[in-house]
Amino acid sequence: MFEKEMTPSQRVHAAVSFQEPDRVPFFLLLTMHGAKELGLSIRDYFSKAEYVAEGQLRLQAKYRHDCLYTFFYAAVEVEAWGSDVLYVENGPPNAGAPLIRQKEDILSLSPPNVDKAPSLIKVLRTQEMLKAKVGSQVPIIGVVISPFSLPVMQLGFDRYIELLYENPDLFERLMTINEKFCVEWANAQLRAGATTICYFDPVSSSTIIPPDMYLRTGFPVAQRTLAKIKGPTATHMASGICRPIMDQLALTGTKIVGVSGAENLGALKKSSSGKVALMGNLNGIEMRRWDAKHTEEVVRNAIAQGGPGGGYILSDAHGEIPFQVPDEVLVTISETVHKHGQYPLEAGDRSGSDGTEQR
Amino acid sequence: MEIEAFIHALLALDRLRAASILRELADRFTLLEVTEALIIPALSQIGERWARGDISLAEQYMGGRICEDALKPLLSQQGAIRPSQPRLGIVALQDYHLLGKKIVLSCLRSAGFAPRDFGQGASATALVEQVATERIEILFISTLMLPSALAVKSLRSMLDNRQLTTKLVVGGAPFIFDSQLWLEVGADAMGKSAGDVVRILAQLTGESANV
Repeated sequence: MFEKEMTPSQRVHAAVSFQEPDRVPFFLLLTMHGAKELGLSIRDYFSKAEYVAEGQLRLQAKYRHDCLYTFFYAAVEVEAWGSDVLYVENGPPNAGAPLIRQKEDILSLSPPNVDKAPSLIKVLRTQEMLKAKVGSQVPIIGVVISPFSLPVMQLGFDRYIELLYENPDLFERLMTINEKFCVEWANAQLRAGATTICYFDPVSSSTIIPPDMYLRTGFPVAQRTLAKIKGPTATHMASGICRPIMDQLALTGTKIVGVSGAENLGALKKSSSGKVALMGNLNGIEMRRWDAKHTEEVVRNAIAQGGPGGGYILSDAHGEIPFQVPDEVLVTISETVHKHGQYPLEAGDRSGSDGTEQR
Repeated sequence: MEIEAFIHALLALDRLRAASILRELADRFTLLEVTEALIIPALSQIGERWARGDISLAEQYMGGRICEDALKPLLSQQGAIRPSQPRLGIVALQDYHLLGKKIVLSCLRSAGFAPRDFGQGASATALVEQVATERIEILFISTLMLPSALAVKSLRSMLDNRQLTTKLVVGGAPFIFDSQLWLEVGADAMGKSAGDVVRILAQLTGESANV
């Protein structure tokens, strides 16, 4: 037992180093809930860095979790490229129609200047304010959409899949442009105060493309990009399956992989232990209607599957907890981790089978 | 019929082989027979493989597109596969960036159906008008985000207020991650993969397994 409670940063660092900290670290990857805390609409909340910084601080104090999450919404990047952003009352702002109308437009595409794009400046300002407030006590998570996954919003999903199969030259050209932007965007966030960059890469998951295609495409893109990001990275599959490519993910240089709720956490832990830490894999969509008993069961099971030996951060599977998830569920998740996630883990929480249907 | 060979051709992106299989069969059978005995089982099996995690969404999408392309010349020669069919619609509700609707549309067209395509990014309010105007009997709704899935509930309510009995078939990530969600939003059916659409159509119309 640890005599003194670790800081969130110490706890996360130990876990990612495959050591058992004082308790299992947990990230509540909350974006829109800050608006509720401040009594603002989602649109108003994301209009000012001050609101998001204050929202994140309040959420971290309220739920006593182990990070500050500076992810605004996925479309914040394509907003900087010139795309429309569509707001809804009850969910994340979404990217509008794809900004690349013809595939050939890729030839004349140029990335935005990170320091001059208003949507990105707000994120950087948020990170600066949070860093000034918490110093090195709490991890500040910055986010990039991978160069390989960003084209879903740039081109549209169907045209991007066709590009992957049918236009290798244009694909490579687009990756060169996107990689440059992604590296600049990630490093700007690290300079602003982010301690870790979450590299969202769902298109690389085996849910979206076959593993052999990943080896030829998303994998070398990730290797090149992560090598140029001047800080630690966590790769998130945003609910996509990753087991078939876990060995390759570990070779990209990432420290953590965010895994799907459809995969068996215990089996993934065995195959990845010592190579990459895991983050996940609570089902955020179902979480809306969990009662306290079920919430505790699910969290204790995740701790049992992922917790032994460190190398695990409990979180949702998608990287963004839906706005509809009630505070009571989040409180129960927090209380359960604080009660049952203390190392050494309780005997009943050291191993177990969840019995749920998982790949 | 050569279901396995056809599936292999679709997943290997072998357009020539897929077209050749269809042409050879179309010489001996009607297009409806080819559709029911080959195309529908093949696309259903591909959908099941995706749902099991054996193939990727990209493979399913490209396979469906190749199937649709291979069928086009035969349709232009022989005309519509199903001259009589329910009035179908398809839409990506609120979202612009999803693949599911394209895959479902491809499956429906390859199975001989001609759904009215209401595009992507549609709001529930605008959709009600289109459904009423087009007298849609069955509407396929693809979603990517949870708010879009929850918007189906509003759509159902607006349809009910207009006394429109359009049946709603939903699919997409939120419904896969929460198996109770389709019931909560008042849908009539939920497809786990695009391969389910013909079976669901049969259930909703009370027709035979291949409609």
